[in-house]
Amino acid sequence: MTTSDTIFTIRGYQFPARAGYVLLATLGIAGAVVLYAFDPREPGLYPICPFFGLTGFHCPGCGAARALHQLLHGNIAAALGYNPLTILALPFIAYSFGAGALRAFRLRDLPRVFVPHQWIWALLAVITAFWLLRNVPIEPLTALAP
Amino acid sequence: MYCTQCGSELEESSQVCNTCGRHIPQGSEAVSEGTSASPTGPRRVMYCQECETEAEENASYCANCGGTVLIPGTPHIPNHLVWAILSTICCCIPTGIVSIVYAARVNGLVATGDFARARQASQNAKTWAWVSFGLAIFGGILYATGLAITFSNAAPAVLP
Repeated sequence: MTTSDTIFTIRGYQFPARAGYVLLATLGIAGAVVLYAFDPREPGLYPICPFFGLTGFHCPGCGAARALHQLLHGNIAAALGYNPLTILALPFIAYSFGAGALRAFRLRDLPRVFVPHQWIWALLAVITAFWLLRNVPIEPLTALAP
Repeated sequence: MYCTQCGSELEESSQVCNTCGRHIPQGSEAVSEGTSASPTGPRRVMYCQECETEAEENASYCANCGGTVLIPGTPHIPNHLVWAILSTICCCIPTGIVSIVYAARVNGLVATGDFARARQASQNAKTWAWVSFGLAIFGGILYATGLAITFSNAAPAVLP
């Protein structure tokens, strides 16, 4: 058994990666069903972002639930309006999990994309800038707020 | 010249790689130097297929596990970038940012060939992503408890 078949090891018990992917897929589908059925704009069901609740400022993830709800209903423009970063990150997340699951189940060995570290630093800068700018209450920047 | 698929050294005239079997078209883009094509790409070394530990130059077996299959390329060291991004977006917690920093350091260190420190950074990226998710789950449980208490208090008032 190679290391890539195990997610983590606690006291000699190896948690298998396949079980992890099944669990993730189940959670993902359940989450998508809930997000499709219940609009996060209606108060009550979804927890408020703890960062927003404590500080009153938007975090980089604020609006992600509303964006995913709109995306599941086919409204891509509205989804981008609530949280563009989340929507743009989805293909990357989907490829990473898809390739990982196919590898864990030995179905296909899709290439692992090596992201040069400069790109990851740039991504960090984009997230930080997004975090700051969406809290600025000046006209063009208010479009970034959810 | 070297094979574009596995990086093995090739005879100048060979049409098929002896190691991985890849067809080498004549006058093709087969890498002419063994090092990585770009300075930011992963650094290529000889490493053990079994335990993914990089081997000494000209070693015939792995010093870590004794495995005899040494292959050219780059050991896979996960940077956990997806988890770092997910924990930043979903968990609203700055610890996700720390995880992204370590993810960037992993790939920087893999590019320079410092695999030992890259593995440490990989562990840190993983740990901080777990910390983010742990805090988010803890917050979720607190929220669910608060919701349940609110409902149980509100119920008699709504239904007299």
